[in-house]
Amino acid sequence: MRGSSKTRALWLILFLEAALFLTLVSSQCLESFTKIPAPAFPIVRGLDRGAGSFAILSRFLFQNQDSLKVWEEKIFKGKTNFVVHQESEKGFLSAASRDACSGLYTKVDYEATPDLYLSWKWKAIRFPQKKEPGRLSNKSEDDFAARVYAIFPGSNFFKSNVIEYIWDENIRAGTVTTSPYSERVRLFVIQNGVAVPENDGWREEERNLYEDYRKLFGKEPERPVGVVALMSDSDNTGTQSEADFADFTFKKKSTVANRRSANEGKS
Amino acid sequence: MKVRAKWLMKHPIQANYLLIVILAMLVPTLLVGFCLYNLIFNLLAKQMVFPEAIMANLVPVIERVNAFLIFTLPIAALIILWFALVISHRFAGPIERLESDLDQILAGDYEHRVHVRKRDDLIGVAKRINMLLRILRK
Repeated sequence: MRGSSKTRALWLILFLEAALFLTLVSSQCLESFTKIPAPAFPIVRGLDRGAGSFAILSRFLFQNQDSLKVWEEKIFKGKTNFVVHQESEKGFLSAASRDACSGLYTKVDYEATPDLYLSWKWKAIRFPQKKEPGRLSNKSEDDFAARVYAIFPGSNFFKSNVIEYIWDENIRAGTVTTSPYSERVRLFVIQNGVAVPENDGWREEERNLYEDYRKLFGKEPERPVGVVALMSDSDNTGTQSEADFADFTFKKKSTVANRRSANEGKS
Repeated sequence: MKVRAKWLMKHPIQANYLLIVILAMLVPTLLVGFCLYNLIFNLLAKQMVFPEAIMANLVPVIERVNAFLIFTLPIAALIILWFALVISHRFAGPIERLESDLDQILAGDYEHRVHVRKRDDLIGVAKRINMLLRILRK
C-alpha cells in the first residue's frame, strides 16, 4: 500500500513536470501564431499573364510609403534610411546607410521546390570603402552596398540556413563563401561593380532558390523559405553605402508553361 | 535544543524520501530552467532575424550565460541535495527512532517509552503508544 501511494506520488510529480514542460514549449509555438504579418496591401497574387510562364505567389512592390507596412525593420547600429520613391509608374525602395546597419525583412512561407523562384530588381549606387576589398568573408568589414537574404528557418533560428545574395564592388559574380559569423550562412555574390547606365543601372535577378540552396549547402532544402530580407550597411567600415531595390516576387513556374515546354521537348 | 548528530541514516526509508524529494526539486528546476533558457534565446533570435545580428549580439550573451551556469548549476544542485537531505531526515528520522524504541519494548523493556522530538511529525503517534503502554502496565 505504502509502495503504491509512493508510486502514485512519483507519477503525479512526473505528470506535473510534463504538463509544465508542454505548457512552456507550446507557449513558444504560440508566438508564431500571434505574430501575424502586416496587411498585404502591396502584394499582388494570382497568375501573372505578362510573365506568361510563371504563377505569382506574392509580390512586394514599393509604390508608396505604405508599401513598407509588410516589411519590418531591424536596427543593429544606426539606421539605414529607407525611402520609397516613385519613378514614372514604377516605384522603388532606396536604402542609404551612413555608418549604419539596419535591414528590412518580411515573413513568407514557401516550400523550396524546384519550380520556386525569387526575383527582384536592384541597383547598387554607393559601395562601402574597404581596406581589404578582395575578401568576401571578413568580419571586420562585413558591409555590402546591397544584399538580399533568403532565410530557411530551422527548428530554431540558430539552426536557420541562409543564402545571402550580394552585390559587391570588386569580388566577381559567382563567388561563394561561408559567412564569418556562421557556417549556416552562405554569401553568394551575384552582381559586382558599379551599376551600368544601361537600363538606368537596374539589374533584374531571378533566382531558383532550390537550385541555389543545393549548390551552396550541398543538399536539398529541408524546410520552407520563411523570411526574405534586404540590407545596405556600412557600420563595420564606418563609410557609406546606397542601393535601390524593387519588385520582390515569389513565383512558381506555372504547370501550363511546364506542360508547354515538355510538349516542345517532345516535338 | 538538541542538534541532530547525523543526517544520513541506515534506514532505507530515508533513501526513498531522498529520491522523491530530489526528483520533486531537481527535475522541475532543470526542466523549467531549460525551457526558459530555450524560450528566451529562441524568441530573441527570432526577433533579430538577421543571422549576423544573432551571431554578433546574441551568441556572446549565450556564451556568458553558459559560463555562469557552469559555475552555478553545481552549487544549485548541492543546495538542492542539502535540502533533500534535511527534508528526508525530517520524515525518516522519527520513523527510525520509533522502530528502535518499539524494538526495545518488544525485547521486554516495558518501562521504556517512545521518544520523539517536539517538532517531529510522529509526536502524536508516540504519545498514543506511550499511553497504551501505561494502560497495559496497569
